[in-house]
Amino acid sequence: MLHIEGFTKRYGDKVAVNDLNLHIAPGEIYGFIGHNGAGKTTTLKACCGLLKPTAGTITINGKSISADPLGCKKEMAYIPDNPDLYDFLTGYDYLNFVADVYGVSKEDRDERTDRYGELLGITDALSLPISEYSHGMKQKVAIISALIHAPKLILMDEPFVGLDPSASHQLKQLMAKHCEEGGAIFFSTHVLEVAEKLCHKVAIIKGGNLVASGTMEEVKGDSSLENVFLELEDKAE
Amino acid sequence: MRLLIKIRLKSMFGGIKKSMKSKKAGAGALLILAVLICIASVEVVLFGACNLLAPFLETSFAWLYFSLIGILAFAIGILGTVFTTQSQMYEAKDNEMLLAMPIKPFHIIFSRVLALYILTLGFTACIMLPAGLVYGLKVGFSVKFVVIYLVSIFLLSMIIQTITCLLGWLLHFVLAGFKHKALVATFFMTIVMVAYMFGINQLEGLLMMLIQNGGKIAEAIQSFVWPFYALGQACMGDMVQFLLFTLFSVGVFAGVMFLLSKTFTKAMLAGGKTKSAGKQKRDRKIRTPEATICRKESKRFFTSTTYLVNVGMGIFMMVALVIAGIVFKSKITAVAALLGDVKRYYSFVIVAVMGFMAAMTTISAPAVSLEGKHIWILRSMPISGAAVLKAKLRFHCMVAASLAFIGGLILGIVYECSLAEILIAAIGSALLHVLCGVLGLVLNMCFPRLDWPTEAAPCKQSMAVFLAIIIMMFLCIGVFALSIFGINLVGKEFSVFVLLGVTLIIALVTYLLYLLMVKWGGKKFETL
Repeated sequence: MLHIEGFTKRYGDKVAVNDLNLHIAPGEIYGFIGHNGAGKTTTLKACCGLLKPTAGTITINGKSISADPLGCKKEMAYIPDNPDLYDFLTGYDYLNFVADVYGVSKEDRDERTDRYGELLGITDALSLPISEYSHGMKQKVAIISALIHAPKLILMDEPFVGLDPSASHQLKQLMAKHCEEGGAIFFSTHVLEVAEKLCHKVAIIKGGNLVASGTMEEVKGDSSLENVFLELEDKAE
Repeated sequence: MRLLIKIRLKSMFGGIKKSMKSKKAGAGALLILAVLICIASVEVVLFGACNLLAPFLETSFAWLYFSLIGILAFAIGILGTVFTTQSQMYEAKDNEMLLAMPIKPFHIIFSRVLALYILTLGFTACIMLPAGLVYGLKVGFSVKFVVIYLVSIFLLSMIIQTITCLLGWLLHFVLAGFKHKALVATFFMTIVMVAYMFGINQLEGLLMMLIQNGGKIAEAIQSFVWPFYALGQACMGDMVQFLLFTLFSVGVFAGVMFLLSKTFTKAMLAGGKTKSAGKQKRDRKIRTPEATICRKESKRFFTSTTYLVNVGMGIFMMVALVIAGIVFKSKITAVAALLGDVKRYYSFVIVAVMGFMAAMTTISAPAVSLEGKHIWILRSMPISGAAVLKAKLRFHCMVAASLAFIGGLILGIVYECSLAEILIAAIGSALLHVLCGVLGLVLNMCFPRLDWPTEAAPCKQSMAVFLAIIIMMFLCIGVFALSIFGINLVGKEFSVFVLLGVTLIIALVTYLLYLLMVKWGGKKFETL
């Protein structure tokens, strides 16, 4: 589904990500772990076409994000770490806006808005302007907007930040269900326990370089993901 | 405190510095243009000051000259900066962050006011310096006069800034109680603008009245607006009044600063307590991607006071203009008749005037910059940059061009133009607004800054808005001059063909600019 081949991103002399290779297959939840500034957000932004790679290719279902950005974007959704949504719209307005751009039918958008709204416990607030939302409420709307067009691939940057325990639990369920239905999720997180329980595969990045990747068992073995992560961090230093 | 001031100044002048570095030629041209505008404003003041000074010098009311110039600077300074002050002080994005830090509210307020003070000082200097020059040339310069006069400019700016802050503070609390802040603020601004234009219109009569009633006015100023009396006397060399004026300026400034810093936290909470727009009905309509972006633009425009007031005043002025054109038809035609047989020029005037309103309706110019931190939404969606720009243009045209078209039609009918003239004038008027929309977007793509600290900044300080206003003004003058030239060339009887020709030229320029917007602008949007 998502193929990252030799992806490199430089900002002037600084190498943010260096020669990254990752393959995310349908049905997989792929966790992306690393310290702050390791290159996780840069990678995710490049995957959804917000940043242009300095080198390497990123393809989604065989389509290059550089050559066919619109084709790729139709098949995926992106949730940033800090979901700055349009404050002057209501939750419903925003979801309708996203559904319009993706060409979602009336029945589908209504059904998905109601279903995910109920699951995340935000239906009542959807009629209010987003300017009145808390960070967590914005995050919930961003999650619904990502799911409203039933994308095949979802890219998430720190999706659990700001969510209440109930919504966090529901999101994990949604992610699992999405992958059961053949979708794929590539997400970054600092919550290693969540990654350990939720992900099929995991990649650890340090200073822009991939230090470990593979199935959860391959990466952590008998140890915990936290121990492995800390060990790898020390080794890389 | 020093750091806060540095940050404010950097955010105010950083953009200009940045563009000066990156596009030297464009910035140079802009600088020349700004200097030209300053010279033009200074010339207007010089003209007025020359007329005002001579009669006062002949009487014992020479000080009144400085008092009146001070009042003029005060009025212009207040009108020009109340909304800026309100938004810079209370709507800055970093207010909450700064309040959460161990920084005294006084320091936050003072750093903001100091940055605004520099702007006010600019306004005041534009009025006071030419007036002082006129006085100096007629009466003679002395070191004492120059020093007192220059210090007075700084002090008067301080008073202006103090009153502006106070009004901005009141405005913040008043607006906080309204559901539709944007419309209330725009209504208020329209009244202020109409009053301002009425004042400018009556300027000559006002000057005469001031000269003829110098004695009474001097008495009134001395009794009711003492600071301006003190300013006048100080400029004439009265050291006691100068000291009193200094004490007054610094005193009220300090008092208001104290009041603002004490109420800053409360004021921020009042902003948060703004009445909720309430639950709204769920929108169930399905739209095309462009139509939905257009609707989003509409929501942004009509809910943002800053956006509406700063770049949308033209739409209200257009309505006012059409109403004035209908109400004062007999007066206008009577004045026009004095110029001879000018009926055939009516359609050209309609196009030029409605087009001139385009310079006050630069809705599209900050539209890309206003995406700011939200840019990720459009950039991560399956929609091309060209489609986004087209949608933004569509909204601009829906609001401005459609209104200009209707206005052109109504004025054409009211002023009894021929059917062909009515139609072409209406289309020409609308086309100038379309051109303004395209131009605004192209300019915004030339200067696509997304990191403005407040929503007010791209609307007020951006290069795109500034250039769009200036270019549209010159363009309307150009269109009118071209029309006159065309009529002189082919004769009055063929004026309708000249009108058609000019409209076709506008259409061609608009189309070429549109192609640039779609092809180059669209690509550039995708790299933001």
